[in-house]
Amino acid sequence: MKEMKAYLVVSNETKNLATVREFVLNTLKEAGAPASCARQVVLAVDEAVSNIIRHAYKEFSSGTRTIDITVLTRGRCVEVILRDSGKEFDPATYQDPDIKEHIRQRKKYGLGLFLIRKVMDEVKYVFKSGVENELRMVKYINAEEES
Amino acid sequence: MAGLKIRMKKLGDGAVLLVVSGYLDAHTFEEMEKVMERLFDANIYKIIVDMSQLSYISSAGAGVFISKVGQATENGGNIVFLRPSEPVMEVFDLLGLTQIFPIVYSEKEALAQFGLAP
Repeated sequence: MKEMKAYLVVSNETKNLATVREFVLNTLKEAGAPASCARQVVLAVDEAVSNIIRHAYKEFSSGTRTIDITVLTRGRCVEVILRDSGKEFDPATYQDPDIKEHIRQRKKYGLGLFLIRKVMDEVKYVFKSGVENELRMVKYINAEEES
Repeated sequence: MAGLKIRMKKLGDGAVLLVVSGYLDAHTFEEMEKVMERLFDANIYKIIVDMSQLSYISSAGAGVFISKVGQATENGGNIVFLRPSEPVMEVFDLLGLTQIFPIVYSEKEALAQFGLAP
């Protein structure tokens, strides 16, 4: 893949998710990422931004906070860094969901991080209390996909 | 960019076909949810969702069906997915929904899920 760095800032409104997906997809297309890899990274970023809006910025009105999105590509590696200034999230409190249990309990939320972990190779949260939350996600393209 | 469009077609015998196009994400899922709730209010529980024109679904979109299918089956119905597009099918696979929801490739097959003829 071509070495690239692209940056986007959006406000905490779900209407921006379409813009976020388009930005990630266009960046990865330009870098020459395989289509299946691009689709999965788009999904992970959409889920992560949705979680930031819904959870980290829960206490804030829509459109009053920002989310920074950086996409980096180099060699076989796609890295996405998301930054927000909302409530921090402790991934240790999260357990992979049981879909059948979700159906029984008629739950509609709680599947985003599960999808992120399924499609990305590395998922790391870093918190600077009261200053910034950072989520780094990495996906490596395998040799078969690249060809 | 278009958001979500939902067209409804009554098929008789209490079954309904919903043709969804656009995307089903954390911004548009509530529209889908409202449509499902209106159908349940009208005692319609046999629901076929044509997803051939749905370009994208996230967990928020899938969550609508996950949270509603119990009510549908308890009332003698179900939610059947008709011709999911490739990106939608990928997400269903990741979530394990292909093991839970009927996925069919023709209206006839969809109706057969409810013991109905076309």
